[in-house]
Amino acid sequence: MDMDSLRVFCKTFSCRSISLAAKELFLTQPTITHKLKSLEIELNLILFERSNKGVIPTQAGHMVYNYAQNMIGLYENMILDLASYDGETVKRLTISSCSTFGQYALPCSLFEFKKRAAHIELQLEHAFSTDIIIQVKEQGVDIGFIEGTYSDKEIECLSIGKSQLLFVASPEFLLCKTLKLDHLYDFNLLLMHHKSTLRRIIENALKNKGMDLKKLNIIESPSLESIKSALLSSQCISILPYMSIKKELYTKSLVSLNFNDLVMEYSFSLIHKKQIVKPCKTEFIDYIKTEGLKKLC
Amino acid sequence: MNQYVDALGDMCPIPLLNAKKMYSDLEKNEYLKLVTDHSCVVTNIHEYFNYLPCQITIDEVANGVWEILIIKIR
Repeated sequence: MDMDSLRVFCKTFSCRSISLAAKELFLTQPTITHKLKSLEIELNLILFERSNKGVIPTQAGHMVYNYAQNMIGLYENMILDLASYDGETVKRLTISSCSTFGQYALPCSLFEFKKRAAHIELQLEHAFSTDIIIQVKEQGVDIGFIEGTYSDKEIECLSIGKSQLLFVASPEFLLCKTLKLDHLYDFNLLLMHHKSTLRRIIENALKNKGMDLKKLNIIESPSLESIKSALLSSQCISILPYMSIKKELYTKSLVSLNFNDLVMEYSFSLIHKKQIVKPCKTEFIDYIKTEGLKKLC
Repeated sequence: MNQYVDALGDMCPIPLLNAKKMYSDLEKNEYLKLVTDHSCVVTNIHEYFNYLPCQITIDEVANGVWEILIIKIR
């Protein structure tokens, strides 16, 4: 088993097709087939059911996929860390952040950190909080910024702060800014991706107030910016994190609405793996604890 | 002429670069008004303009939104 075989396996798994995987990896189909076969012989398991329409992963295939992703992530982080190793310390830090925090609050802190630690290479990615926890636990990512909290015997969690989710709409749309929750059923509700932790917080808050989520006209979008554009040009309501709409609330291009005085708060945290000790990681965490929190927007 | 800089959504160091440019075009007693939603911008601008002959006022008009007024004295 080598990394190439695992990459070929993962690509075939996500494409559900050997020919598509071959195209994306710039390899021939026989090469893909050969690597998959070698992997299956080594593991003594069938990983895919082949058909003329493509491939379907077996149950074993699903299990291998979860491990393979972790192994590839760990391996790639190791290679990049070693590339930045100067004989004394590793000078590379991988940060994975939930997208709202990563887009609106984190960049300024990272900019300030880079000014004082220019020798450290920062690599920032966005992901869902549930995936970030796996990335930090099992794929070699150094720092995670998540919505909510998470800790176990391997993971330390530092509280960063709290924020709010607000009901918003275009000002031309609604004449009345105080509404009953039941009115929500009459409108299209633009919400974040269903894998987002904030979406779950919203759904739980509405359910706790007795709302039937199945009766809501929910339109989902993975991009907060596209939700904001849609609000400006259509008759919809959305529930968005305050940090993402500060500008629009200030310029009054969007207004915040009051639904039965419902308040939705959430916290965010920094997580990291306790057993991984890297000087640049310690430097970053110390910075966040002492000054970084003040620089978050 | 008085200047207005809408730096909402702009990350460091863009607002400071814009503010420096606009400030250099100001005459005596004219002002530059800058709006930002990033706390580091407030710090950077305050640190930079503190050494220049001007009067600075910073007003947090909403949670996480600041209006900075810089009046050129000479």
